[in-house]
Amino acid sequence: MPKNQEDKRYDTAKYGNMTNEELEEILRLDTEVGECEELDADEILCILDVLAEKDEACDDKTVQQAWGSFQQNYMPESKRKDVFLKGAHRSSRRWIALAVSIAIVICIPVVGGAVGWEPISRTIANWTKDFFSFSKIEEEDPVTAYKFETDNPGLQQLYDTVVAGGVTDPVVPMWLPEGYELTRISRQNIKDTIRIAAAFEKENEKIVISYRISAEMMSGRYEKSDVPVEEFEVNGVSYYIFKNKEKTVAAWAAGKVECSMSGELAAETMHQIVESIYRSE
Amino acid sequence: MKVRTRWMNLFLAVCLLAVIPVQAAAAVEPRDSSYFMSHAVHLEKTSDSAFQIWFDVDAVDIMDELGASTIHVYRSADGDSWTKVRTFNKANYLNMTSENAILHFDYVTYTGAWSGYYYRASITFYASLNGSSGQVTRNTKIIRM
Repeated sequence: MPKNQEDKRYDTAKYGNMTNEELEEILRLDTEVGECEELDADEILCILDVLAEKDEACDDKTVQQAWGSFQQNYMPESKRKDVFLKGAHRSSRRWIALAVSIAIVICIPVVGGAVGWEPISRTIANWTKDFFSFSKIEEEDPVTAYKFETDNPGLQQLYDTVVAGGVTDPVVPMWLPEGYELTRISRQNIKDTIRIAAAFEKENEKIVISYRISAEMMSGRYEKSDVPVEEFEVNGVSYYIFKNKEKTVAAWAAGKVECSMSGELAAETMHQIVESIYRSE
Repeated sequence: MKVRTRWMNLFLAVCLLAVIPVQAAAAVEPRDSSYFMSHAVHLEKTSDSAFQIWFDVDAVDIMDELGASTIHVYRSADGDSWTKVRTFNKANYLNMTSENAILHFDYVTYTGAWSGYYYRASITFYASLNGSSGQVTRNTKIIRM
């Protein structure tokens, strides 16, 4: 026979003063007693009701107490409710600013080139440990004071071939180490792209000079050894010297021309050859 | 279940360890060349259904043979999944290489391209000198017909 409502309220008051742990312990002991149960079903339900009521009432109060304790003991400044939120916003603004900056840096050369800002789209040299290449070539005004003069007939022939390909920029060296003679010169073209290469030989040693003349900038990828690339400037043009096995390579871009020289030479000798491009009488 | 998980973990670990030497070898493999100075590739659309594959290579010396040994053409509907649709070989296309050369610059033409599809090419450059040879492979950009 179930107990009446008065009894139930009494039980609630009795258990209402106990802590959750005490109530849970009572229930646990009841399950361990076995057949000799001390609590009937109604009383168990009463305890469960009390526990449920305590849980509902506890949430808000306990959270507030915990937050208050946290503020007092661990984060006095957190009384400013917006401090964490502001910190989060600050951090995200930094990332957004960084992303925008990177996007601008990347987009300026692209957009600049698209709208014709040629001075912005300078030649960009790229290299890894395996390859060297150019990305873009800047249009340059013809050098009016340039005069080509050389004692090497092969270099003169190379110069004539390059000029016939429409190149007016100084790109042909006027000097090679003594003894190097022209043994091969090749010219091939497809549409607006012209390729010229010349081989100079001295006692089985070769120097190959190559030009890639392309309005569309069909950029070459150069084989290189895993050693640093040396960069230096002559007459406003950047030259890059690196190794390809035992060969020393010099590569540079001038106007719409991509140029390279390769030979078993010391870096200093390659420097001299490069500087002879601008040598005048 | 725990034993099975352990064996799976061990199997995965062994697989990962086996990959490391391969990757390391690939990473330290020299990419300089005794044959090539530079190379370039290019795709040039010539009509709605055709494009040219340009290949350009120069060498560090006068080579017995210089040029492209094979050119594979790939097609894709979405730009992600590719199917090889044609191969050009130097045996069948005499303009792919030249003899006694320091420079080789030419092209082959692919016809019958499908409208709206993506295409790219993989060119293997080849050079031989005194009985030895070298190769390097370059991939072109992707074009959409």
